[in-house]
Amino acid sequence: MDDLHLKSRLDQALERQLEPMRPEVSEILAVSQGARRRRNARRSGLAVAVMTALVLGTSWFATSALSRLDSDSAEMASDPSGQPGSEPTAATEDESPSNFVVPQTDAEFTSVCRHASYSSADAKRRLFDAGQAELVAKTSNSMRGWALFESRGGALWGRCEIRRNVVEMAVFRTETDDTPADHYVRSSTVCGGGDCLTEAWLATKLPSQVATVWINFADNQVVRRATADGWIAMSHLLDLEVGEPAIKKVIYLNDGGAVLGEYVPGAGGQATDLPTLASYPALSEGQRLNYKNGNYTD
Amino acid sequence: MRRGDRDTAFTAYVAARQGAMRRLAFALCGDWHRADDMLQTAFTKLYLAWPRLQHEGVEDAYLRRTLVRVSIDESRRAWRRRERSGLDGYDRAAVPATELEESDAILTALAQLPTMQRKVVVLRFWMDLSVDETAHDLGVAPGTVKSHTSRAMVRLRELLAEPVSEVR
Repeated sequence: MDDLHLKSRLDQALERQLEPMRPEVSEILAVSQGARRRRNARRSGLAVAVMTALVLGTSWFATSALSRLDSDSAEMASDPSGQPGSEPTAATEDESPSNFVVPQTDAEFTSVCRHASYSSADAKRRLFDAGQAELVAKTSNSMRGWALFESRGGALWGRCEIRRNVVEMAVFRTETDDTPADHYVRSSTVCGGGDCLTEAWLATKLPSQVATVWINFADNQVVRRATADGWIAMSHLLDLEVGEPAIKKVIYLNDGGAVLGEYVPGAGGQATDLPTLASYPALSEGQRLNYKNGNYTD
Repeated sequence: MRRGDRDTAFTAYVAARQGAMRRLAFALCGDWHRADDMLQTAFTKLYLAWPRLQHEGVEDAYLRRTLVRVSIDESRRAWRRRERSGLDGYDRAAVPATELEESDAILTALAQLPTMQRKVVVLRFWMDLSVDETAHDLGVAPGTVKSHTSRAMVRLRELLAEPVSEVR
């Protein structure tokens, strides 16, 4: 029996919540239409490929299949956990329809992030003014920009996210924990220029032992990125089915090229037969200043 | 169904149900921004299956179930965004502190429950689903729902400082 009166308490609590402005219905429709177009395009492409294979005969199809297997093998050969020291293929620049202009220089990033509209003014003051924070990593694609800041002395750090019409500046107390999720590449849907894509991103400070991160994305693009005193910021846009995982594999290497940890997405998260970064304490995101229930407070 | 008709009907449905489903998503995950991500994913899946679902009149059940499944997937993904950002046009109008504190209590308590316990509480006691319906949505056995419910209620009583009593 619900003798805690949960229904009425939750009703009242959610009614009182500072519910952020809802996404536009037209945007929800546009994203859904885009997913349908991509699904139809994939199905059409598959149908054409099958018809072509049938027309050209089974020998051609067999050759094609073997060729594709070779290609996959070549991709895997660049996996540093399989062949230490081999160089992965560099990802191309993201190209998507957008007129979004992200900052380029450290000074531009810093200026934009200091004036972020979605943030706590008090937290920003503590990071930038009292803390004399400096930019420690930045990255951008055609839809979004990311920057990381650390206060002098390292007591605070901040993560800035720049979108088309909003900038968020989150400020955290510097604390470490062994929560593996903080090490991983995250993904979400981003929309702009009439299109919606999946963005995979990593913007954090990894354990100091990690010198390089190697990421194989679902679109077979591969990125290898060095850390700077553990700090790393990278992002990549992908055209995926809704809900489709953005990452195939992530590998963390030390400065000697040895694998410290690996991550292969799957049900349940970390695969049990892979080394993990869990034994290396990393930056925690649990101590965000002036932030409660999804809103900034001052 | 013509595409224009489909879009018109879908748009009307989203406009009518967005608010309630968004609150459900928030209750499941505890973060408005993740809730919006989850809801967009659920609406997109609904759109792809729209003609059949609308014909059968099961849009709400499909959307709710998809939302729950998406929230479970999110929980299982180690790379999920634990604290989302990306906040177009967020409204931050002031609310009296006392009201915030009252509403904080139950939501804070809910947030401290393990993931499945939280989902069970939301579906059973806020959405008024039966044990069997909750089990179906979560893809677990009814017995699992009962055990999660029992543990969740004990924990909630501790967190809300209520006297312990028997739970079903």
